[in-house]
Order: sequence, then C-alpha cells, then structure tokens
Amino acid sequence: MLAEGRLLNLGCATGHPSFVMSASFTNQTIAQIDLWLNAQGKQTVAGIKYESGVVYTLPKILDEKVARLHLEKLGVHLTTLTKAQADYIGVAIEGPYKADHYRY
Amino acid sequence: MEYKIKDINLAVEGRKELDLAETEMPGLMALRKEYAGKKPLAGARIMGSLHMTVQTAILIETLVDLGADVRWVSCNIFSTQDNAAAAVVVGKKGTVENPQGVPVFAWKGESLEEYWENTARALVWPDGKTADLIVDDGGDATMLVTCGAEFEDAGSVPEFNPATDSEEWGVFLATCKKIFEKDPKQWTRARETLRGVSEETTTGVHRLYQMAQAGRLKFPAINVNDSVTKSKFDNLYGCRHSLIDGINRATDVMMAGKIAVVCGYGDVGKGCAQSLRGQGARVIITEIDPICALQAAMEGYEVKTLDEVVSMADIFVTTTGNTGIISAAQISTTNGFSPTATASSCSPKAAC
Repeated sequence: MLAEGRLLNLGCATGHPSFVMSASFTNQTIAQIDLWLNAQGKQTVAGIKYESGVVYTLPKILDEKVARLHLEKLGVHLTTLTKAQADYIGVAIEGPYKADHYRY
Repeated sequence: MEYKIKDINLAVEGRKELDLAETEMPGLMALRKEYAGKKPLAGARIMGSLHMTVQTAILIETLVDLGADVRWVSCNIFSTQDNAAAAVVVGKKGTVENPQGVPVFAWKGESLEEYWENTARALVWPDGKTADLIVDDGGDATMLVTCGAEFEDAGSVPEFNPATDSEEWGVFLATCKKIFEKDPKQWTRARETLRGVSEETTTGVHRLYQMAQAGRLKFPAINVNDSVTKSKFDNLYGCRHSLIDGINRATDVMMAGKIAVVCGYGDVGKGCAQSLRGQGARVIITEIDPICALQAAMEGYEVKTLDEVVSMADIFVTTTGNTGIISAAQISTTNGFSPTATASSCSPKAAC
C-alpha cells in the first residue's frame, strides 16, 4: 500500500506539475479577489453579489480568461470569430462561447 | 515571525524550484502583472489549507503580491514539500536568519494530532483575530470553523465513539475539545467574521453543497473545482502526469504488460487510466455510474467489478473520493507484488 492509502501522487512524488496548477490557482486567486471585493461592498470581477449560505461557480467568461492566459506558453494561435460567424451562432466575438449547460 | 516547518535551511533549494515554477505558471504571473500596484487583497487575512507544494508556494506569493496577509497549512499529512515550505517562510526578501515570508505550519509526515493543531493555529492570527477568507482543499479548514462553532452553539464537543467513528474523527474532536476548554467562543467569532471560502476539490465542494442545503453555511463560497479550467485540466492532465510519477518514485516497478485496475472513471480516473495505458499497462476500470462506465468501455477499456479482476491484477488505483473501495480481504487474494495507490483531488476524510 503506497502512501498508507492516502494521496499517492503527493505522498510519493511532488503532485501535479506547475503548468496545470497555474490554471487551478488562477481560478483560486480570482475567487479570493472576488470574495474580498464582495466583503467590502465593491463591484466584483464576476459581477456577482455573493450571498451568505450560497455556493457559486465563477462565470464562463472568467473560465475562458484563465484558459487564454495559458495559450501563449504552448504556442497556441487562437482563431477569432468574424462578426458574421458570431451573429450566426449568437455569441459575442469576445465570448463567452458556450452556454452554461455545455459540458466540454 | 511564527512558523513550524521541517527545516528552514531548505529555503535556498526551495527558492530555485519556485523560480523554475514561475516560468511554468503563466496565469498566476499574469494576475500579478494585471493587479500590479492595485493590491486588491489589501487588508484581507487569508488562511490556506492546501498541499504545501512548490506550485502552492507560487499561489501564496501571488496572494501576498496582491496585498493579502496570509497563513498556510497543508491539507494532507504527507503532501508538503519541505523545501517549498521553507522558501515561503523565508520569503523573497528575507534570509534564513531573518525570515520575512508567510507563516507556514506544515511538514511532510505530520501526525493527525499535529495536522489538526496546525490547521487550528493557522486560522488564528497572533492578535487573536481569525481569517477573513479561506482557500480550502477538501474542506478541512471550513469544517473546523463550522463544526467548531456548532459544538460551541451546542455547549459541548461530542464524545468520540471508537466503535463507530474513524480515528481521524477522534483526533478532530480532541482538537476541538482542547480549544473549547480554553476559549468556548473562538469558532463562533471565526464563523461570524469569515467573509468567504474558495474550495479546490470535488470532495470539498460536495461538502459545501451539503452544508448549504442543511443551512449550515454561514458565509458565501466559490466552487473553484467546477471551473472548466480546473477539473477538466488539473484532475485529468494533472493525474495523468503525477500518478505514474508517484508509482515510479515509490516502487520503480515496470508498468508495461501489467494489469492495472483503476477504480472510478471520473476526471481523475480518466487521467490515471490514460497514463497507465501510455506505459503499456492493460487497464481495467471499475465504475458504479453507468455513464462513466459506458465512457470507459467506448474508450476501449474493460469495465469489470473488482471481485472479477482482483486476483489477476498487478496494480490498483482508487480515484473515487469514497470509502471502502478495496478491502484487505480482497487484496489478500492478489498474486505477488501489487502496489495500491489512491489518486484523487482529495482523500476521503471524516465529515461532520
């Protein structure tokens, strides 16, 4: 039994690599900024007024922002929708591109 | 400055790893640049309970860069990288003799008693005030504040029942009891002044939704796990990298040609199965969810019950976040050398 049955990748190695954790922790940092802006009664990044007792997910446009921040490092060249294409599928050129129920 | 780590002299090698990690964490570095000089977290006391690794060190230093006053613990007794913890304590401007970083209370190989003591300690600042915000992984810090306050509401900490309760639950109750005897309102105040929690894992958000439904969540919470750029990347590609890294470092056993059983085919299971297949292992999946089972089958994996395959498999990996997946009796029927591993975004823990 490795790592006494606890997390093997963190107990016997060094966990996930930096690049993928950057995506996770960029979300964490945005979440912390938002909760603190909310606590001070300021406008939040997500535009949500966070209420006590409720569990929220960050809006898709911020999810897309996190992904965008990781594209250059991998040499990704993203295609931009034309106005006609954006209108055809009913999204804004700058996103968000998928409905909340889309599962990826 | 207070801290409790393995060895502060590890800070020099730790800083080298942090420097390297910064070049691989473009999202966090972009936020540092975007918010440079703006300090959006100024005045925020942030307590983190999340694996004290090199990557987490970059998160901590980003929060500090944005103005936060941070204290940190690991959310697992074995997950701390002691050099990363030392580098965070020393900080960018400090030295081993004069550390100026962030108070960390974590080391690799804590006892359960030490683990819960560290968690409680990190939640309370030297002036007696508690965290405004929590970065949680698996929900332990949130559970300590919430259950601690609920015990205070009830006027006592429940007795441990060794017949029905887990060992860890007993340690948790003992920790609560010790604090209750010293200050019977500590967690009540902490719960009142907590402004929010952001949660990293599948297990932790499951707990948060249960607490919200039961009316026990007394602050807002953000489910970071279900950001697509978290669970569809960290849980999947993170495990695809780190599962076989862990098996290799722990055993150096060759996976090619072996039969590997992966229990669970969620995001974590999918990553684990793919990495084992990439090593040339013959991978078999167990599942309770027909949708995930069908996904596994159509990806070309055999899907069986554990009992059908336990006697012939070489490697077992559990990825479910659940309890009682493989029993000692089942393992005793395996042939020879069978490394058994848990890979998940959080290990199952006691819950209140």
